[in-house]
Amino acid sequence: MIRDMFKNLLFSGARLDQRSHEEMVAQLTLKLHKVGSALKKPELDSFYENNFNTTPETQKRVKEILTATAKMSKAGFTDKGTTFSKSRFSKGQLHNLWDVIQIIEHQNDYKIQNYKGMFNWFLEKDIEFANKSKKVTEEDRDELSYIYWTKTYNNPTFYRKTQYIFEQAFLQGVQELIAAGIVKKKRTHQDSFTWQDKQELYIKQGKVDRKDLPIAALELYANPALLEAGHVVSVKNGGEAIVPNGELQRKSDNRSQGSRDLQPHFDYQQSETSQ
Amino acid sequence: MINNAFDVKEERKSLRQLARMYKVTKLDPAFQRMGGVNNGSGWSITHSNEYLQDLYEGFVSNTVILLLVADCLKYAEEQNDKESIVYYQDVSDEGYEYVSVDGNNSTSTIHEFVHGHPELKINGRLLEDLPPSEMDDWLSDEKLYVAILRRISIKDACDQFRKVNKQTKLNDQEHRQARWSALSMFIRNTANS
Repeated sequence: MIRDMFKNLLFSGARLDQRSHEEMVAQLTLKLHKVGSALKKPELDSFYENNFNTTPETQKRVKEILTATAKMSKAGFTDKGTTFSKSRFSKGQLHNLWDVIQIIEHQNDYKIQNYKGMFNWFLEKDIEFANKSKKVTEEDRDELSYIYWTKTYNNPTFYRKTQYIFEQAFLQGVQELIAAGIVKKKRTHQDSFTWQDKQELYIKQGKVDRKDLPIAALELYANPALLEAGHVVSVKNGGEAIVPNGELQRKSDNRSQGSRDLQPHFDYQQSETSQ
Repeated sequence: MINNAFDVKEERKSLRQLARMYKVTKLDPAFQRMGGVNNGSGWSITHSNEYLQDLYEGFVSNTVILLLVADCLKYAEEQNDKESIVYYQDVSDEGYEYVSVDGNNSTSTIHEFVHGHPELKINGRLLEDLPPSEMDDWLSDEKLYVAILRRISIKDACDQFRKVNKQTKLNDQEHRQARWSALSMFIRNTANS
């Protein structure tokens, strides 16, 4: 899947045999392993010479970024016979795309839902930035030219600048991207109820669910879980994982609720969520 | 050039024997360049044809370097070198008898020529257009040196590969990847998954 992505977006089969794509993966790994590192030959040589391995966290991120890129590449054109024009895409642009995925998924906790839409958004911004750069004079190139920064993608001074303008563009447009179903906010551990919260909900609900069916304490200990703590106001609508916004539910009830809000049912919900 | 501690056995093998051996020789992308007639990091058809012409005219004296998998596995077991045991066992399970260290482009060229590659020629002629008896004699009589390493760990084999390829100019990434480490393995496996 990842090798195919390189073949679809950038390289011929011969370049893959020459390990050009592996060099790009090494650069991405180095970029995440040592934040702010240059990505040129001396830094890559030293990365290999001085590290027997990299951290599992870095490996996980590298794989996530490459997998997301592979999904974008696959989703790009659905018509048979239409392919991505490799000659118009560069290594620098692919590095920029990787930075964008990192910014969205790892730094701002959004999840890409529509890979084609996200790829299109990236290319749209890339064209806009490149177009603006055409007016930049040689003198101002280092400070203002996206085209130049992209060409010198292995220099941290310049890849930080592309990261900055893409992050600004993303944060400005994120509500539109959410509305279009292209990204959604990730649920984090802060959006989930703790074991202590579940015990408190069990007591506050009077040991029954909203259908007045009794909940046995033993059910709380089931593995896999039979009960889940759901949100009255959903995470999507800004609901927090706090007891006044929680409810112990049978798993099937919680799942069928999806991301819809619940009408408050128990006293602790009515009194405390309305405060 | 090769350390005798690796229990090197040097033999002269006919071109026909080399073509046969090529089929049971693993070209391992873990540390090798993807050389050979049909791979992008190998010789071009022009290089292969020049080599064949030189070989035919008797101007070639390169040595092919191989690891003998069965013996190396036995050695790894003696040394309790777990990494090498796993590696050689896997290669053996894949059905290979040798692992290529050097000379892959030449043996690949010989193998492809013997099997009638449509672009490989001597004196501008394909094998099928050359006199059969003359070719038969040449493929049986012309011999190249083969150095077979029988007691070497996979890590030392990678180092050996880097040493013998110093002159043949591995590109930067090929040189980095010709290193036995979890990092190089992660990068290769991820990029090619």
